[in-house]
Amino acid sequence: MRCSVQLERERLDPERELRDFLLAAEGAGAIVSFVGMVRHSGTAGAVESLVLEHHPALTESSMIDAAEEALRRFEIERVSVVHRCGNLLPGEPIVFVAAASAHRRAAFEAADYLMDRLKTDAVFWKREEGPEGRRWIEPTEADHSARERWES
Amino acid sequence: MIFYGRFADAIAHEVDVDVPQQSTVAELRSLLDQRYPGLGLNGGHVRACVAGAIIGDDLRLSGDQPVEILAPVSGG
Repeated sequence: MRCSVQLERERLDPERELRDFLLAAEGAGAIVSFVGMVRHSGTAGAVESLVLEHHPALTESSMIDAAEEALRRFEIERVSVVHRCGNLLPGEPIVFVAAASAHRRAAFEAADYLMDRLKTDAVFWKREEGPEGRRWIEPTEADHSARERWES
Repeated sequence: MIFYGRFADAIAHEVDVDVPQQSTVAELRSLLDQRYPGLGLNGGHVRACVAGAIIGDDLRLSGDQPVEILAPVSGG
């Protein structure tokens, strides 16, 4: 399977994901991976936890759409997307993305594209909780601009 | 009607709403925006969903399945 997508409810282990990806992508000339982490401070101060709500059907299908589109757009051989949902603590990984290709440029671009898609299209609702209360996080104009540059 | 994200937080997860028969999604969103002002229910990044599929603003609602209203999404 060239496209692996997982919605992780418990714990995301980036080292294990990368190890598995390296094995699966044996023979590729380039592998690029990205790990997104929960920051200790957010848009409204200290973060005690980050809550990622998801939709029972649309969340996984939105991740699959992004991964399959990356395979179509770029000269990559394999792609993996793992995304957490539920309650996360600062320092915990939220997302793992990896792309494998014959040459490095395509893998870099595919990983970049995937993260831009996940930021604006993946069906999650993100909420920071901290001493100042709770705050819903939505994509910024910069996130939308980053997503739109792939349309040109 | 089922709300997700900050809409569920501000309104409720599930709410019964009387909608005129054959209303479009756009009309439903305007109605919700009037009923729950200030939440941005008519905003550009708000999506509607029926039976597990995102639906466009022009679609007419049959009324026999719940409509889900998704607040702007953000992963990563």
